[in-house]
Amino acid sequence: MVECEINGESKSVEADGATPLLWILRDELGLKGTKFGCGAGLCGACTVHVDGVAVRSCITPLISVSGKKVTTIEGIDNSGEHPLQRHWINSRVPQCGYCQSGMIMAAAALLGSVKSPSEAQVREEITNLCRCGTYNRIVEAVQAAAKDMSVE
Amino acid sequence: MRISRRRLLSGSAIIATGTRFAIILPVFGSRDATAISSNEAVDLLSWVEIKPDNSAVIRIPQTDIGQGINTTLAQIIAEEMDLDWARVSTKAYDPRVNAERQNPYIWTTTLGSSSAHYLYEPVRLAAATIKKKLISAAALQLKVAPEHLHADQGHVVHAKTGRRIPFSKVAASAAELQLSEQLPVEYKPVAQRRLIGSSVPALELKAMTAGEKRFGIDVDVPGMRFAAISQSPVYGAKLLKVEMEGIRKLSGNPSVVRVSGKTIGFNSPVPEGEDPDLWAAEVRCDDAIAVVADTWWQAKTVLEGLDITWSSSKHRALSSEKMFVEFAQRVNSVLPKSGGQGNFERAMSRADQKLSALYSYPYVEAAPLEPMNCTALVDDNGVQLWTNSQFPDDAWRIAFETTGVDPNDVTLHLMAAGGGFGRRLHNDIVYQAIQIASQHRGIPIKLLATREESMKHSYYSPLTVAKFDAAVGSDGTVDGWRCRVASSFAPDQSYGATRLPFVVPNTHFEYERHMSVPVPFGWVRGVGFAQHLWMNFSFLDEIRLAIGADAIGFFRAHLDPSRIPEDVDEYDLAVDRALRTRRVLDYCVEKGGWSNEKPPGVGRGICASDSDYYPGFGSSTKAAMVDIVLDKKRSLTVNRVFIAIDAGTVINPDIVKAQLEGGVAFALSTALYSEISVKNGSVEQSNFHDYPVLRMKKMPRVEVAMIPSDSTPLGVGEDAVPITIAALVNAIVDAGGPRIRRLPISREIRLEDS
Ligand code: FES
Ligand code: FES
Repeated sequence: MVECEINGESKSVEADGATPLLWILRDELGLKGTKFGCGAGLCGACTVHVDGVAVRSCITPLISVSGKKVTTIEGIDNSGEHPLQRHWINSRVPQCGYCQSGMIMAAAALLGSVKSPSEAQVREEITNLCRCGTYNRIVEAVQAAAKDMSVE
Repeated sequence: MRISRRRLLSGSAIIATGTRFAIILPVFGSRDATAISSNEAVDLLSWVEIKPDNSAVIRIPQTDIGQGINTTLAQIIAEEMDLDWARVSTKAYDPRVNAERQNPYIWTTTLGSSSAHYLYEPVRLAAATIKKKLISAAALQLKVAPEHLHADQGHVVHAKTGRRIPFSKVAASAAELQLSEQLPVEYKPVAQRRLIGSSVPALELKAMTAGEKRFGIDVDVPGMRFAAISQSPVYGAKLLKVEMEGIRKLSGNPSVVRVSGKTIGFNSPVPEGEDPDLWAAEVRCDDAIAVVADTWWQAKTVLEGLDITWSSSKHRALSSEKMFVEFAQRVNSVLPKSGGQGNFERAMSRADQKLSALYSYPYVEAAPLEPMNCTALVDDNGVQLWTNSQFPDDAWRIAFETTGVDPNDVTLHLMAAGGGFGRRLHNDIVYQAIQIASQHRGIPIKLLATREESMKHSYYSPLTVAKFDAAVGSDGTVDGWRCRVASSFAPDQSYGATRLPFVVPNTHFEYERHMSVPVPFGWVRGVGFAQHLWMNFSFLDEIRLAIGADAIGFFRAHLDPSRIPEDVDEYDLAVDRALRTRRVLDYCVEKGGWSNEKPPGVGRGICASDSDYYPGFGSSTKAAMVDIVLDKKRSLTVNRVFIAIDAGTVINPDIVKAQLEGGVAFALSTALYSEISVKNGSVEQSNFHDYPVLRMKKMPRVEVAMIPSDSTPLGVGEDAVPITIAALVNAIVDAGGPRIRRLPISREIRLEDS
């Protein structure tokens, strides 16, 4: 049994502590916004925050988040109107949409540490994969959201 | 075998039958009988449901793989019906309903970037017919002449009195109306369009930013259990034995299932009476072992610990490197299939200059980000399938043929896909899921393949080697062109080599496919053009540099229709093609700023082509201009890709632009990194560390210019791929880099990190 906080709610999860967090989120807790792309920490589709830091949940054992705060795409903003989400819509970022939860979580973590990243920084720091090729729109949306957030 | 020129050019044989997939327009007039009305919603011509609250649900007979098809088809229908866009939603079609009602959806395979092209006219006709029915029904109700009514925002309006009747109030009687004798219907004039040509946001945009869009992998059925699968590690090896001892004691209540391999069908529809080889490749899979457990992680863990004995296989020494060497030898001599036009030998005998080069393309995997999956339930009621197949009609067939269940008892729930790129045209995962579910009757089974399994047991564009010979005439143009191609197992894809997008009067093509190679063929975004266009264009560029000609002048000279021999097949289409290509090339040169000064170290390349597999296929004509930098350490950066395109009527410009941006990214992944290699009978790559795809850091600026047009929409989904690769390899030479003759480029040039 592992106790942690997920999207602001405390949970006790009955599962083998070695199970990657990704599968707990998706299959035990029904939080299907977090995606599986590679299972090896290579693509970032499974990105969530643990205590505010972006982690790849497919290689994060459940036990390692014991007592910590996990945030998924479902919990990033109660209204669904996080500046990143708004600008993702403005810039019409998603194509298939599959990588986008992970992209938004990676971007949110980046903006948590760098208030207004340069284009080069965004490109360097977000290493998630998008097979549909939405990268340039992601850069645009991240920078626009950063601007909004520094005003707010 | 000597095949006819018509056949080799792949054109005419397909043209003659291509219309079989095309619609029979009057079908709408006679489908009225199938309209179903209920208190819930009224179904109109199978395409649109009007709900009591006057919202509309539009049926989409294509798989959503990220190409925006839900939005674009809905735009067309909402436009012609004058629906209120804010009250439009979509729902996937059902293959069983399509079969029952004799194909009202016309074209249901998500293939060849063809949806807008094939469906535009029929969908408009359906929508305009529905509108006409609604207006006629309202006319009867209001006792006025239909001419005095028009539609607006989901209402029938009587202009004189200002009365507005919601569609929902007349839908039921409209569904009953027999309208066939009142056809033809009228279409909305271009000038009055509000939706077609407008960049309305994709319908699922908000859901996609909130993690709420549901893909195949997200299916949740009460009582569902999970399966993981592992196919034979070596092509052709059979499953001999699994050690079952102790499995029951592992967590997750695991059970082990044998899944037998076989050829399960084709990877695209084959028109009746046609030679399948021209249209499709067989979809084969090997024996596999699956584990079913309470959770997927448990199933995967148990599977990885299994002690499995596989038979030996005759393919155990199979090696793609050896194949490459063998193919490279084969293309030095005469190959069995041939075709062409004019007289290549004569062109050679009078040539001013002769050139020759060897090019090759590796196995490439589509690698959509969502790994392969399918959920199936087999019980006393029949079969239910949840899949994001790009070929759902065939997934439905596989379900009833594999289980022996009545087709009417098979229901397919078509899900969205996290990318497709052709991979999901192969229904191997559907067949496997059904076999597993058949052995667990009454329990829904979600089969999910790992990335490793998805990559190692995929369907690849085929390893190909091409040998080029050219004769340059005294006027400085190419007079003769020969291309010999040897490839791995593939359908008759000769168009890739033979559909030169430029004019050469004397051509000779020969090819040979090694059909006994067990590596399965797959459609991969851009297909034959992605493989061959860059070779053709790069070799043309080699010739240009050898004679010292200016790029644009040289390419334009090879788009001069007066050089097309008058006795070629489909002469008029050939002339039209050259003129279209030249126009798009010119547009790209002008809008992309070809002649603008290049900063030092920048290399620039250009390529224009269509992707017409045969004359009149219906792809767009497009050109790419690529700027790169090759620094002193020979490290490559792609700075900018400019795309000019004639895509016919553009339904949603922003979605077209997004598709082209995505095509550029796919092209760069392919050109820079993609290579699947086979050693000892197995695919060597397993995940994104050894099969890299482009990252954000390497994505260039992409600009798009669309040539205004109101002709039928043409394909765009795959179209940036071939031209971008071709322009890129020429840009590398322009920057002082090597001539790339074998992809991927990472073989020759440093790419820093990938
Ligand atoms: S699924 Fe976790 S990084 Fe790819
Ligand atoms: S939008 Fe499809 S993978 Fe990124």
